[in-house]
Amino acid sequence: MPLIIKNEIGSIFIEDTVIQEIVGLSVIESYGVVDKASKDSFEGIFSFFGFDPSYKGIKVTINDNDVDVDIYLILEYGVKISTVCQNIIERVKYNLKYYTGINIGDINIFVQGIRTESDL
Amino acid sequence: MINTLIDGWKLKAALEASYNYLDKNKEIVNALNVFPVPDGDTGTNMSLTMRSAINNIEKVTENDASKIIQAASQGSLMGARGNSGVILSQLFRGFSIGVNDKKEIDAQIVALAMKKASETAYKAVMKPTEGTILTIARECGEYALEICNSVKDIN
Repeated sequence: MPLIIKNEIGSIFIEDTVIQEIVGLSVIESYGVVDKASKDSFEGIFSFFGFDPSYKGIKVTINDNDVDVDIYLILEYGVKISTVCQNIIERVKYNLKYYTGINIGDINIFVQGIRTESDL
Repeated sequence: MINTLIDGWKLKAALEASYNYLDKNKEIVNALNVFPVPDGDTGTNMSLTMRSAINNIEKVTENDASKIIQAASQGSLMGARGNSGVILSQLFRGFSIGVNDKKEIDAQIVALAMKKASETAYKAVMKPTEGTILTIARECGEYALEICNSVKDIN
């Protein structure tokens, strides 16, 4: 379901994949994030075959007048997880507001894993 | 007097001096803050992160450079605030990996540790943005490696 912004001369439709991509791009530029995790098994299978779209791990729920975002992530070992997540929330909120001007509800972050030195 | 080595107390004094300098100039850094969110708190965040590192350093009673830098790394990790604070804590962590367990450090080790610090800081991000503190850290590390062999007096 697209997000609809109405004004006196017409309507603007923003697909949720657009919001997913904006969130995805702000997330991979954030400090401390090393990868995004799959949000469901469907994406997990896709990613197993090497298909990693930029909206992977981002779930967008469009409500009547705001948007909720869930983000599934893998972080680097050795960063303060709470601070990094706080930074990501602030950044996603700012970028979404800046590019689309929509009202933002909740931004939830699910840390699904930690990458350590031995994983490399 | 020519000094070729930095011991624990000297390192501690250097870190304290850098904290004081940062704290005095945090308004300038705040004004620079445009990325990723232009909310103008970078200087305050960095200064608070450094404060936490210094608090932890003050607990160290041995004259041991590796212990001092480990304390700084832990303190900055615990007290990291904001993006810049997290990056600063990663720089300290990389520096402490570079110093390893040496009680006294010379110019070569400082240069290698600076290089290691920037590598560690770069590793924690998928898509580094150039023109941020990361670029400065990398260039500093590279320059330090270039000149470290000609440095006689490290004071």
